[in-house]
Amino acid sequence: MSRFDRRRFLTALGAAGLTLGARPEGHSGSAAAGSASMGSGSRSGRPLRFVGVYTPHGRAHELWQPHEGFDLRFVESTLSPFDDIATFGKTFRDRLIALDGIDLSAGIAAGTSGHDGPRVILTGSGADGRNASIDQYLAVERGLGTETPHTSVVLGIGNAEPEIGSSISYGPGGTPIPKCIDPAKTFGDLFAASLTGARREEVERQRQMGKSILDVVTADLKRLSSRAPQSEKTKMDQHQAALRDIEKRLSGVERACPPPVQPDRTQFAHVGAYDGGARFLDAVTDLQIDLLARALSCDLTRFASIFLGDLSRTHLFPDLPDDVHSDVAHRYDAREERRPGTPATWSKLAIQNRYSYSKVARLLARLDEGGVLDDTIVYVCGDMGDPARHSSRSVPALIAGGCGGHFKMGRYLDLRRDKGGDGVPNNRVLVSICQAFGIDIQRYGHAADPHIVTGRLEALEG
Amino acid sequence: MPARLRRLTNAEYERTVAAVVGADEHVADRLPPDVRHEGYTPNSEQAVPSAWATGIDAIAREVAHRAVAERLDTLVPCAPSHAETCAGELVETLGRRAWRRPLDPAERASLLGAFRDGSAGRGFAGGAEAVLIALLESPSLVYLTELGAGGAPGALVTLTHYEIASLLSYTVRGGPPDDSLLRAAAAGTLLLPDVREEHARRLLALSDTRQHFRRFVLEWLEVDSLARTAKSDDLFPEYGETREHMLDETTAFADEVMVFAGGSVRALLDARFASVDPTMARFYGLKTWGARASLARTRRAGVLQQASFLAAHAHEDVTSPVKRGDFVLRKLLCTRIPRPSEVGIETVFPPPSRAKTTRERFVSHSENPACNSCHETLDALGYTFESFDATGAERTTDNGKPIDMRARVDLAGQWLSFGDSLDLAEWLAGNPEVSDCYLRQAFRYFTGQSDPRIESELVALTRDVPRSFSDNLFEGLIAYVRSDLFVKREVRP
Repeated sequence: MSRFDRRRFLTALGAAGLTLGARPEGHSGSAAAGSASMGSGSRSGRPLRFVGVYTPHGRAHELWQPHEGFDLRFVESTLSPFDDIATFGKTFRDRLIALDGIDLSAGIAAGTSGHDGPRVILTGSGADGRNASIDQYLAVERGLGTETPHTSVVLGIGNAEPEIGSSISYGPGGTPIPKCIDPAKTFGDLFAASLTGARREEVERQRQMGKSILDVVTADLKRLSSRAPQSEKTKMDQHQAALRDIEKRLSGVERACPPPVQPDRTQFAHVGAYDGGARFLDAVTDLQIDLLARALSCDLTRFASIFLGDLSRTHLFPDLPDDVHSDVAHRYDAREERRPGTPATWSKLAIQNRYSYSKVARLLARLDEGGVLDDTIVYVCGDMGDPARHSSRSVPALIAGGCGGHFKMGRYLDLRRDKGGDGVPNNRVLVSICQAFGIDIQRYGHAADPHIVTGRLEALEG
Repeated sequence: MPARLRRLTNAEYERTVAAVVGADEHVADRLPPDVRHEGYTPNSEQAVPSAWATGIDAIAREVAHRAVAERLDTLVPCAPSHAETCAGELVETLGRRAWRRPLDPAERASLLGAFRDGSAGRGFAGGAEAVLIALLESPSLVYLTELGAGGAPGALVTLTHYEIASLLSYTVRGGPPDDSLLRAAAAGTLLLPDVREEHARRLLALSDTRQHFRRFVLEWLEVDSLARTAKSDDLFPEYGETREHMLDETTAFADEVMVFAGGSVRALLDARFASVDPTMARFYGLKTWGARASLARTRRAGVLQQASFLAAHAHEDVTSPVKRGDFVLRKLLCTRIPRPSEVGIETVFPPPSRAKTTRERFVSHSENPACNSCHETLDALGYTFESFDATGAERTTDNGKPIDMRARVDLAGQWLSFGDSLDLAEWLAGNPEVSDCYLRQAFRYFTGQSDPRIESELVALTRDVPRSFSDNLFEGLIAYVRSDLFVKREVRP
């Protein structure tokens, strides 16, 4: 049971003169025209959660597309981890939608595609957009993250740089949100309150002192905000939201939840992909996923994203070249209408794809153990379809989890238009996800062509 | 320029924290990395997301605790035995240092409140620690304000004296104003261009100001990414250990150019010396090492043939004529090349080959007319660097075949021929367009904005610099510091 004093917190928000678009739990947003009624939570009434996942290096479509009957287990299938009871204890086949034919259209139109594609995945905007990604939009701007100690959690693997090629979470104004790539730090940030003994005493002391310090800092920001021109308001609002996050944690928000095991530093001497850390990144990924799943299960947060890394220099698959980017992704030779392609290149890329999806399956398994899989929307997306062409058309997109009953799971949706034509803009998926959270919007993202940003993906509803 | 709040970069935050507590504190690397704009860390996009706020909260606590435990007597201007009055003096002194201006009564009361709560049960030291934590994570420390007295949208405002003091110091040296500048602000003299110039020259002469220029050079060359650039272990087993030495070389070279050549782009591009340690001297096959090791008998000069630059603009295993050529166009000639997707082209990387040179592999670009419109120039500029491998080591063959570095390029409206990248560097060093572009790049860094219209105004200011100093970057900076552009801001809606 949560001991979070919500009323006190909201009073504090009022005192700080903050503007929030909060839709408190249980207070349904109005339905979009013509659609079924929506709520901010699961159809079960429990709160809904969102996790955005980035997967690298496009996909070998030949081995990605499910076979007849939503078969995920054919030889070399990249999606096989989702139907692998031996490894994960159960199948997630009925908790998955494979979306074929999603384009990062706003990015393509703005020249933000290929390696810059991550910018578009959760924002529905190219580099010229100023809007937040949906995790931040829902959690911060619409206030759905206010009830948990952490408004949102943003993790990454191997590369902490807030560049558009390695970030899927963006704040208001369109600047990348920093990713935490160190499991020890992730643990410290999320679970410090679960510590015991001397560290616990220190945390308590800091908490006591924190309140009056935060008063000074908040008052200072308020004075500065009152002098700031309108053009700087977004920046000030983001800073205020950050202070609210600190305040929430100082207010003694605790969750009755078993703390996870503290990560063992000996498992990862380095966490950067380029400083010799590559061989630790598999262990780092597992730790990050486990900590994230626990944070979601413990209701420490309801909004998160994770930017997965690749297999380069990990030596996990001896048959795979050291440099997956240049020697696997660039060499992928797709089957096309008039040419057969090179199956050996599909197999290599499929190893990378399957590895990424095994990590997503791990996340699903942990969420299931924590009892929140049915109330979570996991949106998994890559920046490229055919990686050798650096194409942001037909990117690999999956929706996983129970999704609170809002989407009809266990399906392959072929959204490809005629061959070579445009697919469906990812903005539709983003609108559908926001609507599942009870946010009555009809468009998301930024593009000159309104067709790109408008409308939901009705097919998700079945 | 627009009235604004600019969040300090991590490096600026580190120097500011150090100035407040009076001791070196290495905290920049512990914060989430800065967001870059046009490649530069000082910019208006820098924000305070939750992770950054949490980061400075942890740092503030740790640094304040250490400062109070180890150096309370140097932080406090009075005897803690007179707790009441001394608390007031503590707040006043540390507050002015952190916020780079005097405090108003409400601010003083707010900080004294933190002192009272902090001292409960922990005495004066506890109170001092609480005040210090609050200051180190306060918005007034974290943001550089360029607001003046404020006004309606469209109004042109003049910065306050204290804002000018801060701006001057962060612009010139990337750190907070010292007592002398704050005294000038108090005396109200910083609206006089001569006084600003005098302070700017004084700050430029301080030895640690070099750090700020170094960082500009590293960000301009995009070599600070080297720390995150991996190379094939099989092909370049020594790269991992050499990488740090490569960066040290560029840093030391930047120092030389700052101190002895006024940060001139000409010197950066065609100085015939290297600033190398024994490791890099060996790497280059030089007989001597030191701050000015001669490059006379080599085909290297300046930054473009330094290993750091060549390695940062290459792939893990092979060179990248595209990356190197693209740098020359973007950062030296300020020419924007559209991304392939902007013109509807899907990129196909030339397949790897053990039988062809890199140049031969890239011929596919010139065979495809859509690619060729940009790549003809891009690739040709890049080919001139082909005598240096993916780590910047010199080579005469590529996949066993001889290398061809010659290029004919249509640049600035004329067809030019280069024998290799040294030819190219010499041509660039003498080109006025490169000087202008370099000034634009420098102003992006030193003013933290990249509005093309403002950039043009800034570059125009430097036209008044006497000819004998025209290649001196710092004279250009001083022209800016003296100008109205420096002290006036436009309120944007």
